[in-house]
Amino acid sequence: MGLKWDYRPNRPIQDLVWGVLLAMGHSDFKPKEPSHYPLALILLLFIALMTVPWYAKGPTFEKLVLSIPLWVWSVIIWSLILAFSIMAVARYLWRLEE
Amino acid sequence: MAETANMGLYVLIGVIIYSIILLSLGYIYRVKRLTLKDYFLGGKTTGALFLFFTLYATQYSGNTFVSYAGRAYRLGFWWVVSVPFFLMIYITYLWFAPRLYVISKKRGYITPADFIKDRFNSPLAALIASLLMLYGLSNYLLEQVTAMGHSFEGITQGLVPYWAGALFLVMVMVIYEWLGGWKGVIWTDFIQGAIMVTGLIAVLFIIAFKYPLSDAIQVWLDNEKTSKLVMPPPSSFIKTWLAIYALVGIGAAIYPQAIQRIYAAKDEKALKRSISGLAFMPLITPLVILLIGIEARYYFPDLGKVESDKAFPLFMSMLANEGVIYFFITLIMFMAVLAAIQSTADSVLLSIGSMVSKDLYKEWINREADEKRSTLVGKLVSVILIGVIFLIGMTPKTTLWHLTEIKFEVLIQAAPAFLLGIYWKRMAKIPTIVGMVAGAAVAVGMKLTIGRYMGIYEGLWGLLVNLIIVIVGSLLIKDRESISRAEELFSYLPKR
Repeated sequence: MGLKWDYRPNRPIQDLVWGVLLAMGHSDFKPKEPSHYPLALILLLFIALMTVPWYAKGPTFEKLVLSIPLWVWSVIIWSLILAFSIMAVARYLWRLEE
Repeated sequence: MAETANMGLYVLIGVIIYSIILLSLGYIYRVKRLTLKDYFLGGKTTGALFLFFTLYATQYSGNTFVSYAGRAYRLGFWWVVSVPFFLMIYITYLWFAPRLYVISKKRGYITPADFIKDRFNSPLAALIASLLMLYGLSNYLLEQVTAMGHSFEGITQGLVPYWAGALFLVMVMVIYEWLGGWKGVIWTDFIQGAIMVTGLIAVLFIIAFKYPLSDAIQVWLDNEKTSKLVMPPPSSFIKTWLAIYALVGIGAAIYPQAIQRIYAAKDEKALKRSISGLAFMPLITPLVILLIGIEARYYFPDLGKVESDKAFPLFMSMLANEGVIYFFITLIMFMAVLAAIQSTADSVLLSIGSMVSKDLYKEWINREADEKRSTLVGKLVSVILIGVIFLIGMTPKTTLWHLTEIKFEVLIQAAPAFLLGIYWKRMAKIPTIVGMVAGAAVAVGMKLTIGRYMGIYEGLWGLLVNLIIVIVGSLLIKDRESISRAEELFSYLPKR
């Protein structure tokens, strides 16, 4: 059991990474080893974001989080997801030496 | 507060201690065997941690701190574009780094042009690519040298004049680089990168807990600057954001010093780990600088366009007044600016030295020269070049000055040879050479005459012309030599 880093249809996070990969023509790079590590990190990020309402009342949230426009947050979050995708591609999908 | 008044003096003391550390590292790691591979690439044995810090410290220059804060001051949240455009550099790495790494290990490349020469079996193509990159890099170096002078003068509150600041930092850099070569540079990059990360993380916490962003945003609303808070319209996004993504994403990824860091990786694991870590650095570096610029608008609302570049030092000086800890954080941040400039400049200078010794001297002037002599020539020429650049930086701006502002526009014309050449077997020699020359001519011509067309950078128009020539020309000409060379190089790549 557990999450495995292999391609399956209808799994959006893997699709995102594979999409980046395939869009760049890296079809010759196969997953070297199955790992749940990058996916788990991305899931943790989403869980952290979903808990926002609980700490939204605190002063830090109001000072920092609420004052930044939503569209800027979306750029930041997408940048973070992109960073995770880059990490996943570089660490788990490159197969350079045989 | 007394400490703030003495900030210039404290920074000067800090810089002297920091310089002694750098010089000691240069001495400790001085090169004993003068070969091209050892001096310019550290024998290709750089591990993940050092590769990460050298790529980080090289990629983010003093410009990232000072000029980006000024842009955030003027443009508001629009400047969040600086986060994804740095990510684009790593996307470009994902495109070409794995293949280039494998081929470079097998063929023993030292300079970026080594790949071009090998791929197209053409010393001429390599020479043109080298000259384009040398021109772009020399201008980049000039930018760093002038930034050293201005930043040192500004940060020490005029205690150290512009010329003396630039001269001091250049001298320190030249000495540790002369002694240590690659190892001197990556050790100092490690220290410089660590200073930068420490300062930025400290400032992020201060902004989060001490200076409410909501107040800063209110001032934008009060001054009817709401347009600076809303999302850019689609037309602006397509023309400006995407153009920046393309220009920086491609241009900065094929900087010679960046390519050489791919060659220098010890093994696959080191390269993978360093790029994985780097992917997160835009969220620590340009994002924190953006927040500094936004905050500075609240505390210093009346800065003009030129003065807005002082947003960073002004905000940091204000922070220094808050107490002893804040004072030291400010000190670290000021040191981080100088470290960022110096770490970029040293890598650029080393890269220039390698290209002069291998691509120009050994290839075109003295083929019989041994490794020691070629390396020595590269070292000497780079010292002479930095001397000339220093003198140019000290002269007042003339009408020819805008020639020195051409950097990415020219550099990016070497991109198709790397980014297409590493995948496309059919890519032919002659169209590649013609494409580079034509692309550079279009970019420089536009820069000197009409400037940007339809709001899109001159370099991208040059790149478009370049790509059309390369693609159409390669489809029309069947260059058997280039194809067989590509087949040979691609045979090193792992099979599916």
